[in-house]
Amino acid sequence: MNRTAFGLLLIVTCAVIEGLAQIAWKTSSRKPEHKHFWIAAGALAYGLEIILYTFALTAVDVSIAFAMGSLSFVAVALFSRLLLGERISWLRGAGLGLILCGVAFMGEQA
Amino acid sequence: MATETQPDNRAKRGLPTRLVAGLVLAIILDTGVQTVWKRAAQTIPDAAAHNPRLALASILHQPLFLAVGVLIFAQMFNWLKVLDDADVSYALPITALSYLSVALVSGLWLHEAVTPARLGGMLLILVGVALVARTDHNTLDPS
Repeated sequence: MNRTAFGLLLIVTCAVIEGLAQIAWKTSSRKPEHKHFWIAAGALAYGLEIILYTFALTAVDVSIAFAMGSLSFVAVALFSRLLLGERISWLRGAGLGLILCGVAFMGEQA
Repeated sequence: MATETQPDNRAKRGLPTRLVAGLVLAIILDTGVQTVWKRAAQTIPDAAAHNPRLALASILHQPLFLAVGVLIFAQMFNWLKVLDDADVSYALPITALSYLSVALVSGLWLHEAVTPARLGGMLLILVGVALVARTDHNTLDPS
């Protein structure tokens, strides 16, 4: 695997980790008996993401990293649907799609 | 992405004032973190890129990094409150508005260019957020 591919893989991993961190924090509000555990799990996941993202930035351009970072919106939508049972209506899905396009557009100029 | 084909028949449910305030604060804090962090990073000397000890010393002697830490902590505290009232798949896309505010603030404060293409991206984000905002904010706890 070359350096750029490794960087891209790290960014996708970061998006997945961020998705899971957000699910952990949402779970903290739904399971008060284990609130601190879920908050700590989310914070640890974010700490890991910061480290991996820093490594990713050494391998890919920031404009690519910036745009691909918005994949976390997709990860959050997917995990919140699968793990929490949130309803992703077509309107919410369309909105997410436009946000992704907008971020990609801005990232292209970064 | 899994989608729901049924109409979003609870979409007209009003937003709690606390949630609106939390989302606005989340965008403000995100903007603060990004712009202050960038400003702080600009104070680190170029030589620190190859000298971790110098980089660490620069960070410890720059009060703006302390401000970043405080802002991040406040951001997390506020975000946990937001998630008490809203779906994470609703709240997180709304905070994409911070892409706009960061671009505008960095244009004004850090003199970064706000190009027409970037404005186009902002417009897409704005429309996307408007669509998400029209959906029910809490599908897990219907009331």
